[in-house]
Amino acid sequence: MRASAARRGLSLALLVAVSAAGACDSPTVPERSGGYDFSLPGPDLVFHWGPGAHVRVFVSDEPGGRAAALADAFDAATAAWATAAPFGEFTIRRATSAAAADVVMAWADGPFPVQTAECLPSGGGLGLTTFCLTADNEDFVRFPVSGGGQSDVFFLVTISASIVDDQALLRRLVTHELGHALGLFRHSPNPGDLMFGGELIPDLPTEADRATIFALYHSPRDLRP
Amino acid sequence: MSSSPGRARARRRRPATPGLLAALSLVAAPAWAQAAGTPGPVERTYHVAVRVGVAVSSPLVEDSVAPGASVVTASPDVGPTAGVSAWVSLRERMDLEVELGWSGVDLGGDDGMAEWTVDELGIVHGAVLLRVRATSGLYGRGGLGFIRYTGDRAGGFLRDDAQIHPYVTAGLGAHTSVGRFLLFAEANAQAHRFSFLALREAGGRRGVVWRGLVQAGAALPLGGAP
Repeated sequence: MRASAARRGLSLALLVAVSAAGACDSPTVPERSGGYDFSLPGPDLVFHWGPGAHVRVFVSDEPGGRAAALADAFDAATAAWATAAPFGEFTIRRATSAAAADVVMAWADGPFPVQTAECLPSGGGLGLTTFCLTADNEDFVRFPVSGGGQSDVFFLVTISASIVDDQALLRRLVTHELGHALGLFRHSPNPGDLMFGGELIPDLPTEADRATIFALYHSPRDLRP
Repeated sequence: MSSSPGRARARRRRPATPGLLAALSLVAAPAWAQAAGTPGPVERTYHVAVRVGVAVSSPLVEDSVAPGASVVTASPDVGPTAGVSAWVSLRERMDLEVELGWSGVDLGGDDGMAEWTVDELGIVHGAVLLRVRATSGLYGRGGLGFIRYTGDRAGGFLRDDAQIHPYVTAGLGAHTSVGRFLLFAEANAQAHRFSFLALREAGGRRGVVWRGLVQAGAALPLGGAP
């Protein structure tokens, strides 16, 4: 009686073990579509900071209310891009000085915390992300700290002072420019995306923006920090 | 975008949940078989126990990202686990056990080009189990519980995910009496279905996460002999 019950239990256990084995696949997410090109126009180079990277950004701390407005916009941009890094692809951190930063953000009418004599900001628009490559296109040019000294900075984000009083636009613009500094070197062709090259509509990265930067961070890169 | 068809697909797969119920049967069947052969009720004894050990896990997700990009796998690293439990004897060789455990591990990411730390996970689980003492020094245990994952990273893939996942667990152990204490070492397996908000939004497929816990501990009898 007891042995029979044990045999029945064992048989049932083997039966369910076989059925359970068929349901052992991991949770999976399919490929996403809807992204856009992110490579650098011209040399067609791909850059990202690398999965798990901490991107150090120094926000110019000139005296007065302008600095607070820029800092507030930067905090909003940091939170906005955090949702585009589901697996911790990057973390944006605020640096305490230009010497300890990778990216510097400042008002376009200066003064700049880094020297850009060999790599001057050029182009129009309310916001600009400036960087230069070495002659062999294999590395970024690092900006010396204003007043002397080396730094790791190779992105300078400048924002037009004309929008200092439009906090909503300022946040959108800073978020957009930070997208360039994260490696989105092209604009979205879709006017509804945050990374569109014209008038900015959304406050946050859209699904296409997030899909693009997610794909970027899991693609082979030509340029490294 | 394809979010609507994706959600529909996820709903269609839910009936597959009986796989976990079948796994529960895997645990319960031998226990009931054993119980059927044991004598009737005996003097009630109670134990409380603490246990520590290490936990391993299968991946929480495999994300195909986008055409041309690398598949991302996020897996909990091997990490410490600890728990408390209490059990009461039901029959001569069978106990009813309630367990609460915690694991703190890094969630590692791997896309074939780089490995990095995705998040720091806190994993809490609780279960009700049956313990069956097969011989004087060996026992098996199995049951059903709930598990929850939490992460520190704002905006991470566990964002907005307050889900508590049911799981089945089964294990084997050995124990010996030392003074008033019962010292034991055991290996347990846990299995649960897993999904999260971003997975569902992207039309992903729920899957099964397996965990293994190797633990040692000590139990103190509160009534009767250990």
